[in-house]
Order: sequence, then C-alpha cells, then structure tokens
Amino acid sequence: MPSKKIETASQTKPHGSRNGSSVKTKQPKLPPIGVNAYGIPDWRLEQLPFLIESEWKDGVYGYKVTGDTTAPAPPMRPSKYLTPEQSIEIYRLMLVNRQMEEVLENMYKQSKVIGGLYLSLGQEACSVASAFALGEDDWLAPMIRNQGSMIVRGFKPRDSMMQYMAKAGSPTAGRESSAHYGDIEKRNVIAPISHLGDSIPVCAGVALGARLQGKNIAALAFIGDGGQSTGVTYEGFNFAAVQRLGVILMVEHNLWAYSTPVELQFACKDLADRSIGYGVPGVIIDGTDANQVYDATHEAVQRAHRGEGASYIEAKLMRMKGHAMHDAAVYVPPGVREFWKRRDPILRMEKYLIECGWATEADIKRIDAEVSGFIEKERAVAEASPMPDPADDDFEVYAADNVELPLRYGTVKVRETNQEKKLVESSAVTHFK
Amino acid sequence: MATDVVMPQMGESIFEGTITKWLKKLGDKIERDEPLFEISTDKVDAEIPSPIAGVLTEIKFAEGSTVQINTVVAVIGEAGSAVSAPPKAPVAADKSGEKSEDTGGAKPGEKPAPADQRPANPSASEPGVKELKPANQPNASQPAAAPASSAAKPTVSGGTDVVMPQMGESIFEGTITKWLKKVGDQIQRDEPLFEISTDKVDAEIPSPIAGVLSEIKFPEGSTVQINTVVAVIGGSASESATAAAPPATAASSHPPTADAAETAAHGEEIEVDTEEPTSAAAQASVDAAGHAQVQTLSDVGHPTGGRLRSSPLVRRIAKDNNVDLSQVQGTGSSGRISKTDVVSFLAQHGAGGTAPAAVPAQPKTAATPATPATSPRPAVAATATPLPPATPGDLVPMSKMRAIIAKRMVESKQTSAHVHTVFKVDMTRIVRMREKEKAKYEQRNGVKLTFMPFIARAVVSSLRKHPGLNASVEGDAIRYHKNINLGIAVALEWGLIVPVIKQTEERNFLGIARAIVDIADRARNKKLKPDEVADGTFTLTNSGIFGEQFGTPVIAQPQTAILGIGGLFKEPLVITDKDGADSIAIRSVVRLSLGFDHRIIDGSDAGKFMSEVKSTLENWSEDIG
Amino acid sequence: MAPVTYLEAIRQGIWEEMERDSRVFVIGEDVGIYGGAFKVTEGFVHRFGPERVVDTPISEMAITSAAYGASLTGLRPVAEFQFMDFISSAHSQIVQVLAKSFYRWGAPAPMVLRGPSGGGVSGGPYHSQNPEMFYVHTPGLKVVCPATASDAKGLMKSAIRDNNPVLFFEHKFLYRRVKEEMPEGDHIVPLGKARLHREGRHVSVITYAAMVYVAQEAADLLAKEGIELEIIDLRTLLPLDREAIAATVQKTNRVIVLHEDTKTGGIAGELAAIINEEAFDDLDAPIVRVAGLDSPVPFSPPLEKAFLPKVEDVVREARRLVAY
Repeated sequence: MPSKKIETASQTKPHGSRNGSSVKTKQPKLPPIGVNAYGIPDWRLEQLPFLIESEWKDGVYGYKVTGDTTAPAPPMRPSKYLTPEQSIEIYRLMLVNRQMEEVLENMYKQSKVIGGLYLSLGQEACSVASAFALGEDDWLAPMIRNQGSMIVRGFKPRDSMMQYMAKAGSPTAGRESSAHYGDIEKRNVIAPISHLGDSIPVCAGVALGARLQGKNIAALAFIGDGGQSTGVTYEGFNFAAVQRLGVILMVEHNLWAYSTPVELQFACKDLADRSIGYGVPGVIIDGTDANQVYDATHEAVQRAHRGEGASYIEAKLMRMKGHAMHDAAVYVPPGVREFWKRRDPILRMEKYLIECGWATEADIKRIDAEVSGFIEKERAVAEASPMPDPADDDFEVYAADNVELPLRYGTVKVRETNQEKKLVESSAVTHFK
Repeated sequence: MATDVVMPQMGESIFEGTITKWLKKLGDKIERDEPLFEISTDKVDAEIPSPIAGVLTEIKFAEGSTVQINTVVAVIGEAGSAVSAPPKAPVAADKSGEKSEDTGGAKPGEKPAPADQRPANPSASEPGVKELKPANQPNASQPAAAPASSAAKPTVSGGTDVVMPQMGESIFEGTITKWLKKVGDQIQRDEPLFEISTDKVDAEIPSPIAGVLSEIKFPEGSTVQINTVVAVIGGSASESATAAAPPATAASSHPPTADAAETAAHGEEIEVDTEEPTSAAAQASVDAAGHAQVQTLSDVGHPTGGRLRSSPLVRRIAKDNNVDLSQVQGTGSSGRISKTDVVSFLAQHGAGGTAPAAVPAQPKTAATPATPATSPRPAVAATATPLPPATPGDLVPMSKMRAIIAKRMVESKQTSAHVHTVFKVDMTRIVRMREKEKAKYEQRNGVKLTFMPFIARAVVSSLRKHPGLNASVEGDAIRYHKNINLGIAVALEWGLIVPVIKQTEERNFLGIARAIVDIADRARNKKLKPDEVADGTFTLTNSGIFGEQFGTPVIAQPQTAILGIGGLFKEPLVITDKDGADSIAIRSVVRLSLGFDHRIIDGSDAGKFMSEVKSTLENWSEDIG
Repeated sequence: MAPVTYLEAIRQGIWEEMERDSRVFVIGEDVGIYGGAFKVTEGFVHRFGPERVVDTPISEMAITSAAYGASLTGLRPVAEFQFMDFISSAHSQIVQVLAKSFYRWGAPAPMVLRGPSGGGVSGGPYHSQNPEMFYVHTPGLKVVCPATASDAKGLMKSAIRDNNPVLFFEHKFLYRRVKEEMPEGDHIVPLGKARLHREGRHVSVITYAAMVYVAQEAADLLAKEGIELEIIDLRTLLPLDREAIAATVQKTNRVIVLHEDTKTGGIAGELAAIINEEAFDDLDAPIVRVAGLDSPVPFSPPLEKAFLPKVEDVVREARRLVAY
C-alpha cells in the first residue's frame, strides 16, 4: 500500500474524500470549538501566548516578543472526515513537499537553481491538506509557497524542480520561473500570479464559468497575511461573495510578509473577522494541524458544491524560512522560531498517526525512505533535462485562432429564455447627446 | 571524474561570498548534499552542500576568502583521487600580509609588479607626450608642397569668372586637359581658352569675354565639378595670382587619364610626387595635402552654397536611374528636390550614367521611349544628294534621352527579325457609334470617347486568342505572358513616353478607356510612376495623327509585336450587302500595321491575329459602358 | 435595411454572437436590467437571462478577472467598462494576467474588454481618454478601434471569436453620430487589417476611430485645391497592418499620422518607426504627427476643442507636405 500511495503523489487524478478505512482507529475525542470576540469559530486548541511588536530600544528599531514562547505543541484536533488512509496519504504528500524543497535548497546552493527559491517549511499542512479536500472538478490558485498543493493536484516534484532550474522539460519550458505554472486541461491549477490577490477574482471567474455550464465548483485561492492587504483581494472576494461563487479564500497567516510582521499589515486581531464584512462564513484554524486544514476546507468545498457560495479560512502558522533563500530572516525575534518548530506540521502528523495507532514508527521510517527514493528519481529526471533553446521558443503571444477551445464542463446550461425576443433599437442615451 | 564546487549565488543581487569555514579537509570523503563549507554573504549565511559524492581533492580558497559567485572554490574527485596538496595560501596572503612567511619573503605577487612598472609609466606621461608633439610639428612646418598651396591663395577682384561647362545632362565634372592661354595673355571673346575632356566629349572652351587672363585656378590635369570657376578674365589681379602656381594641390597635376581624374576626385594617392617618403613625413604631407584637397572638393562640390536638399525617395530614384541630383532643379521649399522634380527630370533627360550595353534592362524610368512612332521616320534618303562642301553644320551632342532612343532602336532592329503586315479596317460602324454616343458617354463616365479604347480592346481580345504575340524571347525559350500589359505610346513636347496599362485583360471597355486617359494625362503632367512605364508585353502606337497612311513601327524589346495605328480617312470602299450585292460607299478607314518578330511569330500567326482585330472592330458589338 | 448607428452596430454584433454561440456572455456594471450606461446591452438580459448578462459590483478588477477566469473554462466573455478611462483600474490584470496567459503557461484567454473611449463630448479628464496605447505596448493583447458602424459590428464579431484577449475601444463621439447600412448576413471584419477609407495620390493620412472623419473633412477641403488625401483607417492597433502602412507610403510618399490620443507615446511614433523600417526610401517628405495635446482631456468645450486635433491642422500639414 504505501509504495503505491507514493505513486499517487504524482498521479494526475486529484485526491478527494474517500470512503472506507482498513485500519483500526483509536482517534481521540473531538474537543469543543470556541469563538473569537466577533463570534468567528476558532478551531485551534491553543491561543498564541505571545505578541510580536515593533520596538525602539537602545537606538535600534526591531521586533520584540511579549509573552511566553516556550509552550509545548498542543495535540492535533481529530478530523471529522479523514479516514486513516487519507491521513497517511496527507502525511506522505507533506513529506514529498518537504523533501522536494530540501533538494531544491541543496540544488540552489549548488548553483543549479536559477533565480530565487521560495520555501514553505512549516506550511506543508496548509498546502497539502487543503488541496486534498478538493474534488476533481474543483480549481486551485496556489501561491509560490504552495507547491505542496500542486503536487496534490497531480504535478510531480520534477515539474517544480525543472521550473526552478529553468529547464526545457519544465511545464512552461523555461518561459516562467519557480512555481509559476498551471494546467487548465486536467489539473485545474491557475498558474501563480506575482501580483498578490490577482488570482482571487480569477477563481471567481472560473467558478462563474463552471456555473454557466451547470456545475457548482469550489475554487481555492491562497493568499497570505501580506497579500490580503491588496485591493484586488477585496474586489475579487467581494465579487465571489455577491455572486455566491464557491471561492474558498485560504488566508495563510504566516506572520511575515517578507520581513513585515502582521502588526504593520492589518489592525484587526484575526483576519477572519473580515469574513463578516464579506458576508461569508469564516473560520480560524491552526495551519500546522493538517486535520483542521482538511476539515475546514472540506466543509467549504461542500458549501461550494451545494451552491451556497464562498468561504473564508484563516490558517495561523509561521513561515519558517526567509522570504527567499537570500533572506536569513534575522528580523524574527528569539524564541518565535523555536515555538513554531515544536509545531512542525509533519512531526505533529507523525505523532498523531502513531498515537491513533494508524502507523508504527517503522511505517513512518519506511514511508520516509520511499519518499526519499521517489524524490531522488525525480531529481535525476529534472537534472537531466536540457536548458531551453531559444530556437525552440517561437515567442508567440497569441493563441491560434483556428483552434476550438473546449468548454471545461461540456455545455452551457442556463435557464430557458424567450428566444423570440428580437434586438430592438436602444433607448435614448442618458449621458451624452 | 572531478566535479567543481562553485560559490553559489545566494540572492539575485549577490555577486560574491566569503568562505567562513571549510567543513571538510583535503582527502575527506563526502556525500552528495553533505555540508562542505560555510559561506557568508551580504544577505545570508549558509552551509553549502556538496553537489556530488566523492573525495575532496582540492580547496582553492582559504577560509576568509571572498570570491565571486560561480568561482570554483573546491574540487570533488572520485573516491581514491589524488589530492592536490598545496593548501590555499594565495588569497590568505591578501589578508595576512606580512604575517605569512611565504608572501613576505618572495613578494612575487602584485606588489613587485607595480614597482617594476613604475619606470615604464613615466615614459608614457608628460615628457613622453612632449616628445611626440614635436614629431608632428616638423612635418607640418616643412617647406614641402603643402604649405605652398595655402600660401598661393590667388586673389583677383572684379574679374569675369570662367567656369567648367556642363557638357551633357549627366555630366558633373570635367578634366582640364590644356590651357591655351597663359596668365597675362590677352584673349578675345569666343577665343579658345582651354581644352577639356569629359565622359562624353572633348572640347575647346571659348572665353566668355574679351580681356586679360588674370587667373588660372586649376592646372592642367585637374578634374573639377561643373560650374566651378577655373579661371578669371579681367579685374585686378594680385601678383601671386598670375603665377597661377596652379593651386597648391601639387597633387592635382596628373596626366589627364581617367584614373587620375578618378583619383583627384576622391582626393587619394596624393603623395605620388613625394620623392622620399620617410614614413612620418609622408604621413604628414598626406594629411596636409589631403586636407587641402578636401577643402577644394567641398568648395567645388556645392556650387550653390548649401547642401543638396532632397528626400529618401528622391535619392532612391536618383540612384536607381543614375541621376546626378545636382542637375535637378528643386521646386520644393528651400529648393528641395521632390519626387515630382526628379521624375520630370527623368522624363526629360532619361536615366543618366552609362548603362551596361549588353543587357537592355527593363526600363525603370518614366522616360523610356519604346518606339519612335510619332516622330518622322529616320531620314533614309538624307545621304542621297552629295552637296558642296559648305559650312559643316552644328555638332550637338545627343541628349541623354536621344542617346537612349538611338541605342534601343538599334538594339531592337538587331534583336528582332522585324516583319510588318498592314490591314485595312472599316471603322464606319464605330465612327457612327462614337458620334452618337460621345456626348452622353462623356457626361456619364467623365471620360472622352476616343477610338483608342476600341482598338485596345480589340487587340486585347485578339491577344487572348493568340498568346504568341504577347510573348518574349528568353534565350532559346519563349515566355508567354500571363497578363496583357499594354504599352500606349504618348507623344510629349519633349519626346515620347510609353506608359503601360497593366493587366489589361482584367478591364472592360470603360476601364481601358479610363486607364488610357489617366496615363496619358499623367504622362503629360509628368506624374507617372517608374513602374508605370515598365513591364509592357505589347505596344500600341498611334502614328496616324499626322496624317500618315501607316507606319512600320519598331518593336519595344523585349516584346515581340507592336501595332501601329494609321490615320483615319474617308475612302471609297466596296461594300457587299446581305444579299451579296456590291456597291461603292464612302467609309471611314484606318490602316493597322503590325510589326512582329519573325523569330517566334510567323506570318500566319500575325495574319490570324490581325484579322481577328479587324473583325472585332468592324462588327463592334461590345457594350462600351 | 435602414442605416444603423455605430452603437446599434455594436449591439447587433454582440447580440448576434450571443445567439450564435452560447459560450458568449456579457459581464459588467449595470449591463443587465438597466442595459448599460450607453444602452449597449439594453434588452439583452430579457433575451439571454441573468446568467449570460451578469451585473457586477463596481470593480473593473473583478469584471476583468472574472471574465478571464470564465474564459479559462472555455467561455467567451464580453466585459464592459462603463468608460474605457476606468480600464486603468484593471490594468494589472490586463497586462500581467490576460496578456501573458498564453505565453506564460499556455492558457488561452478568449475574451473581449469593451467600452466607450475618446473625447469630443465634454466628458472631462476621466471620461474622454484614449488609453489604447498602454495596451498596444503589451504583447499578447489585441487592440481594436473601429471608425465606422459596419466595422464596429464586423470587428466586434471577430473580436468575440478570437482566441485572445481583445480590447475593443468604442469611440463614444461616434456612437450616434455615424450611421451606415449593415452588410447582410454574418458580417465579419478581420482583426489586424487596415481599411482604405479614401483613395488619394498626394498625402496619406493614417488614422483611426473618430479622427477618420477629421481626415475626411480635411480631404474634402483639400480636394478643391487639387490635393488628394488618401485616408487609411487602421481599425486594429495591435497587431498593426504593416503592409497597408507601407503600401500607402509607397503610393503617396508623404504621410500624416493623425490620432486623438496624446502625442507623446501615441501610435504615431510607432507608425513613424514602421515607415522608417518598411518604406524609408519611399518618403518624399518627413512624417508628420497630428495628435492630441500632451495633457489630460479638458472638460470645457473651448478647452477640449483646443486639445483635439482639428481639420485645420490636417489641412495645414498636408499643404506643407505637398509643398515640401
């Protein structure tokens, strides 16, 4: 089973909810759900016991921590929906995500990666478990750090590696950098857009397009605590909310927008408070807890499929590396990284699987070795790919016009209208005569 | 196989990094991705993993070294590889300086080098430069030929200029082959003053005025542009001027060969007279004389003072047609030569220059005459009567256009086996139709109704049935043209032009009528485009307007046939009515003469073609629009 | 068939395409029950239903992006901007997302972004602009600026059928001022092809949109002096019809490039470069630009008149060129 499961990491077919479980469980009892000051459900099992604030001290301006950073990691919240097999699969995919990025980091230092490298250490649960909740017809708009979600949608580690190495064999054949690739034909992934928030209204459009074809889909857009400051985030998500489109806004509240802490990014306490303003359900989750990520996304996906509209999820976690490899993240005050390191999503999941009795330590070791072998093969393929030849790129910016572009969901399905109505001359202009 | 380990680029703007620590020693085994060394950059500190498994065989930079990105800092060999012993002292030397015994003792590195260079440097600074300067000056001040030129500035005031005449339209320069008078000589008006030679002609040039030759500006052998003042008659001459030490440019006194003329014109090879060209001196004299020459040329080159104003298009037309733009009168603002100017110049003078004689190139100008249809036949009998040896008549050089016509006509006669056939055509039906229709027609279509479109239309329809007459000979092959491009000879006051109506087969009667009026108008107004006089495949020439019966036109190469249209006369003609009864009637008759190339067209072909034309005209049935 | 206005022609174009192809839908502010600020989509919602005539919040960003997202699923949206001035609010999406979509990751974006642009109606600085050149500078887009009613219809239908993002700049001055009989049947005008608006021999005026009529008036005046203007209506600014541009220069040898857009960075500069590249040796005089002033479009009629290129400007420059 495990080795086959590894392969599914690179299969085209996205992962959806599955039925049945062959493993006996002893899952802990569900703890109760709290709410924040504005009544937004907060699924976390701990509140952050510290604050990060800017301070002026001894002639130096920097960030300081107020509060305790030594608390141990809380247990994971048991999932209402995941089967043991799915949980193991999520664990495996998170490992693929992490090991792929470790290899990328090495290749970067070996001058094999071109340009910047943007890693997601500490965010694997948020990338993987959320995308894992999407159905085959649903869409995903990742950001640069959500390569885990792209793997869930069926891209292979080699795709990401070749992208980062600017290889001819990469999905964009060297035209685009890093995680900036997508697929509208099978995997339903919108290529990341560097202009943060721009992909949110695009998701709304995709959902609108699907609805015109009689299909209520979910379209999951990632945004960060920094990116959500853009106007297009509001414009796009408001449009989705108004149109009751199944856009799921996954706000990764990872504490640092490049070097800017959330204190300088927004004034509200929880970003999920904003869901009230949009008029959509919002929820706060622990972004290092794959179960919470999955369950919250799953419920939002179900809403979307029922045609009930958009959802807002705020996932609290921390970006454990710098913005890119060149950023040593020295602005992170002492204690904070250690606090979050204890909440490493993969370690937590490992512990959870063992505690539930769904996997033994030996299983974990075996899975780890299998993932390593898989990544090794992917790396070999990626490294072997040649660099692109300018002669092979036609630099064509226009899609051919003699190509019929297919409807993603078959046919347009709208209500019956009166086909006898004819175009009549428009009434007088109101603006200018 | 050894693998290089390089300093990585840790961030987009990073270009160097410092090796803070080697985590392995030479000879150590290392795994791929196992940390090999630590670096520190402006942005980040990092452990750098080995790109490959193997043995560390070489460390190229010591700890503390700062090296550029992508520099090889270490080499990993296969297991068992030899280790390159010497540890990396060199760069450490920079930092440790005297501390290192090695570097302190030898100092063979960078320090000694500057010291060695120091003696060399001064030589390249001030004193050295000064040495160089005198090297130039002696030459400049040498009493060589060059200074003479500048000293000779002849000054004459109040005299009459004698200029290099323009001996032909395309001529822009002439060579003075001989001065027939010396400075100080008395000369009568029209008395030969000097002899010239140009591309076209050699001539004695007479004095424009009586007086004393007070200055000669160019020595024999000089080639100067037209309209350049070459001598002055009268006025008060200064001493130096009389010497006429023919200017300066000792260089210009070459024998008047074509080469020399060319050379002088370009201001090259001026050092010919220099006897001992010691390199520096020779160089300098070239500079000086060359400079003088340039001045002369620039004076000469712009007789009107300012630069020649034209446009990219004008320059292209001029280049394609070998036209000297200085000959063209500009009518645009500030005397700018416009397209209209150069096209009408071409129409009047034809293309300039000497076209390669071998290939009768497709005419590209508006001025290419195709047939002398409207001009009197060349005087065949002119030589018949030997007259007493009286005055020899004026010898006038042919105009360029005349020269081209002459050449083309002879070429055509030499190329084609000309045969002519004449058909008499009863135009009465068309004449009546025209009389009846012409007023309404003009009102309706804005075009006068003439006979020309009838004939053109008849010719086109017959050519379609007889493609052999719409053809060219190419080597041993015949090219049958797809399109019928009908040339129509148009007489102009200044000559003859044959604009071409392209793809006549695509036009109906009215279309042809309009095209004829249009091109004829534009030909007369000099508004034809170069490509509108090119690529004809068959020509019509209406020579009948002067009352001739018919002509025997010469084929416009590379075409193979031409139709001459004779005069329209009222003549008695035998008419056979539908019952077969003959009677004599007064009819309007025209004679059409076909000149054809017997190389590819036989008499029967020509006859069939002509009878078709005749029949079409006599039984005209087509709607004329 | 009675002649129809430029506005009605656009309406017909969209309506016919929506009837012909269910993938086509309209999205924008007030496009539904109200029928659009200029009534371009009036009555559409009753014929095609609210699913295909989508009213949106006031957000050009959302309109543009939603149209793009829908195009990714195979639909062919026609998005309306109430005024093309507001296209700048969607600039990021247009130049970063739509235009690069096909090149970056092979995702075609068949869609039309349309709306009224141009001055002459006292719209002031925010309702009179000609923002087309921002987008002509962006590879991957197509930019259309029709001048006549039949072109407006034919180009609209082509734009909707195109597999790329097409920006369709309607000139609001022309909406109800020009009328034309529509050709019968499925009237299509291909993108990227200029139109010979008037034949002439002496000076070419290369222009587009409302300025075609300024050139036409100038041509009528100059004809009395024997100066014949040839008027080329570009119709599509991206891609440009280089052949037509070169051909008219080769014919007349003198060129005026005329546009309402501001002079600096206007299409005239690009055309001058193209003429240099394609037909330098055919020039008998310098290339002349007649364009809007380098300022915002003023509101008050006398000021706006001073801003806009005028018939006199064209006449003066044409005379100068002929005498050059």
